[in-house]
Amino acid sequence: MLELKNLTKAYGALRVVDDMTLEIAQGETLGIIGPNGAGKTSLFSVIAGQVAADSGEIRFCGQDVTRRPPFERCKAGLGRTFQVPRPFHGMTVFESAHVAASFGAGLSGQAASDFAAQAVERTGLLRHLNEPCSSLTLLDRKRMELTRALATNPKMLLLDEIGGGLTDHEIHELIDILNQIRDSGVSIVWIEHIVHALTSFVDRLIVINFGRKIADGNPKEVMALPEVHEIYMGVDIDDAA
Amino acid sequence: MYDALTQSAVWRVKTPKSGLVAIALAAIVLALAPVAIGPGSLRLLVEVFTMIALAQAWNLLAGYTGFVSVGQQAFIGIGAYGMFAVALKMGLNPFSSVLVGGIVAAVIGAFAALALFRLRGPYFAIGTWVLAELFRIFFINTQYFGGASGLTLARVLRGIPRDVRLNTTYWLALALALGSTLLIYLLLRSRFGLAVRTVRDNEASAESAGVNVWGTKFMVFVLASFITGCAGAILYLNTMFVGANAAFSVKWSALIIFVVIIGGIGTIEGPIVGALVYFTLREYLSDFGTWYIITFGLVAIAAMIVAPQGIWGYVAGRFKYHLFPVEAEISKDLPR
Ligand SMILES: Nc1ncnc2c1ncn2[C@@H]1O[C@H](COP(=O)(O)OP(=O)(O)O)[C@@H](O)[C@H]1O
Ligand SMILES: [Mg+2]
Repeated sequence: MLELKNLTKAYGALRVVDDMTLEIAQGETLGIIGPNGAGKTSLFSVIAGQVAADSGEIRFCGQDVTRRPPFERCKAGLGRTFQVPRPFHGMTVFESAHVAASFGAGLSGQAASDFAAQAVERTGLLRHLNEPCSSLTLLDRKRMELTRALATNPKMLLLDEIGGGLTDHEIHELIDILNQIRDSGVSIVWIEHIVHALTSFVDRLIVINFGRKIADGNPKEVMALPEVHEIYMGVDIDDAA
Repeated sequence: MYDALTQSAVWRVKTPKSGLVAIALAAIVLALAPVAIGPGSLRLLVEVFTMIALAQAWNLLAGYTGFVSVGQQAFIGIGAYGMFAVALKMGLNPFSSVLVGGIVAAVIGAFAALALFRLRGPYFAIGTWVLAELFRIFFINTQYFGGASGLTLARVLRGIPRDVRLNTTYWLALALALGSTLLIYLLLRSRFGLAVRTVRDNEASAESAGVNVWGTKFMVFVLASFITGCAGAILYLNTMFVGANAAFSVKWSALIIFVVIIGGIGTIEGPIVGALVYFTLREYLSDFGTWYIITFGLVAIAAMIVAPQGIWGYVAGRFKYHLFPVEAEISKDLPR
């Protein structure tokens, strides 16, 4: 469904995405971990189009989207959230979802309203439906990121640390939502520092360091690799198992 | 817990009628005004109405889409010169020529956008000003457009009775003020309006919600140029004379910004309130010479301190009332 071929992006001498080759199948769930500054968010930005690749190729659903603007990639079915939420301050929660349902999912009229309201309901923001996004707490802003991405009716979701700051209970709720989304055939790529939550959900895990993919495979096996241990000295690997 | 409700209920976006009713009432009352008031007042109202249209266009740009132009005078001047040119050189009726002025401004706006959209924030603002200056210099130096001495409509208006000319100009200005207010309001309530507001709030999020940010800005800019061009044409139809130094003066942008900020940026009511306040002040204070400019400055500063959201922003916040609510409110209707 998504194919990255030798994708590279550098800021001056700093390669934040370095010769990345990766394939993600339909319905697959992929976790991405790596230390801060490894280039995880940059990888999402290159895939979703906010940042242009220096070289390499991105194919989505069989089409070359490497040079396509982000809104076209969104319409093609690539939904993303931003690690640092970027809400529409002057719009309500409903309107934010509505715009995604209208333009991202291409719906109109009642269908668009319904789809938007459903996305809001799914992520637990229904009680804030008519409130401006500027009044949302940080956690709710993260939920808003997921709401907006969901309302575009994506084929693939790119989630950037939407679990940070959630309680264990909330993480479980989030994973329940993600399971439903996955069951409806959507591929999910999830960057998360909470490794045990991530490994409990994803089929496959990759580890990124200095923009490079250093491990790729079954989550348990990946977490057991010595090079991953080295990077994740501080992390309780038992949690992951 | 909400599931049961969702299955049986229908989501409905409220569509308030208050704004449409207000516009319809204003249209009826104001269209009849020429029977009751004299030529001096009609001329003043033409100014008020064109200012409302200018302010609506700028507010659409700055208040709703998030890009600040200080070069609106480019389109005022082009609209005026476009109208004068077709009326004088091609013999088209000067009243129909207003539309041509607007279209010329829109076309120039479309080409200007290609260059201006490469500039961000303050650079965009400066770019619009530079563009207006370029046009001023061009028109000053082009004999076809009368050069430094400008153009007069006297020749083509000679055959038209005075009250026909005054009344038609008045109705054109009224139609432009109400038409632009209505059009912008309906646009903002539509899905296009949602796109416009996402562009103002966050371009990256807008794109990742599927919004074509460049295309949205482009359409807004062209529409604002069209309205501004029509307003420019009507303003100078009202005075029957156009000169490049006045038409392309940055004072226009300063005035428009004053009106929108005082009235309430990012609201449909704001430009109307601001224009009414400005002309009231001008009518009462113009006898005081320089003091009148200073008073404007003080009023603007006072307003920004007391009510940074402008007069209408303050009123709307205080009384939770919008005559033209742009925000879509949704609720669940139980099936009947
Ligand atoms: N626009 C930019 N210009 C320069 N450097 C950047 C830019 N964006 C990100 N970086 C750098 O790229 C590196 C990777 O950042 P990021 O992709 O956010 O990492 P991660 O998400 O893995 O923490 C960091 O060192 C960051 O400082
Ligand atoms: Mg990151």
